[in-house]
Amino acid sequence: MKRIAAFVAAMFLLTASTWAQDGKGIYNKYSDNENVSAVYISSSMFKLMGKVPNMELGEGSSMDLGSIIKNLNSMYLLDCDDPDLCNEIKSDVSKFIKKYDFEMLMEIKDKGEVVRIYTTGNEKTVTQFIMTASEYGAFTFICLDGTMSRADLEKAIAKATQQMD
Amino acid sequence: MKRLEDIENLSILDLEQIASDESVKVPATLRHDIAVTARALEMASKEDEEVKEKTASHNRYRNILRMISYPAAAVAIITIGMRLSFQDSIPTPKDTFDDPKMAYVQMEQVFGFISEKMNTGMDIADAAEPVIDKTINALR
Repeated sequence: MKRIAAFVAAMFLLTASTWAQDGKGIYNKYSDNENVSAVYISSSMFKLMGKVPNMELGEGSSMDLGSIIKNLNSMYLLDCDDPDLCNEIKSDVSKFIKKYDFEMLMEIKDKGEVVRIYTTGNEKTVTQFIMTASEYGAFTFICLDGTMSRADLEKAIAKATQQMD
Repeated sequence: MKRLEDIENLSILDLEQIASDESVKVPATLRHDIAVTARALEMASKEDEEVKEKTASHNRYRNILRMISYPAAAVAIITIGMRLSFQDSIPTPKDTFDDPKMAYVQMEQVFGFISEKMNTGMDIADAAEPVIDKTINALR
């Protein structure tokens, strides 16, 4: 009986340890921390955003994200500036990336900052998009969840680039 | 010809007398036949032992498999059950914005940030292009 109880406890701990290994789990685990800035946008909010006609957002807001937004389920953003906590988040994100077989799209190393972009999906569709930006003592995690056309996603990023130029 | 019952009723003395009777000829191949029979019996008993051993080891494997399969099934069921219950129990976070316009601005900022970082990468790649071209030309 003791063995069974120990076994069930071990299974419980094992399952609990993998709990935080997705975008939602990671967000839930760290979003309330005082050293973390967190943003979550739900699928309901994305639907609402899609329904607002001709969204006038003022100067510098001409980016058309309509095609992307209508297919998004959630967006999680965590921005951390506590070195120890950053390492903890990084470790969870790394487990998440390994668990879901993410493909690395791009890695940029510039002036001590390392940016990595990962996606899952197929040639035409992206089901999850992750970007991590890490430099000493700071870490940013962005996770987009939904069914986005690769072409639309590239278009949105390109438009953002043009707008910045 | 004597019957088996007659032989069984003979006393030891009678048997000794018969054995010492040299008029009865012993078949020349008797020793060989006895040896062959003994060897055949030995081999048969060995085979029997091997069969028994094989059956025993087969039963042992079956017992081990049976012993492993029940806990393995229990492990699988408990793990799947716990996973499902945990997945269901992960609370959905509360939306950061109540206003869709604010959320849209946030999304623009997110895409701007992604774009900025990707641009840095593209700039580094562009800067490296002449060097790559030079190297390719030098190799040609």
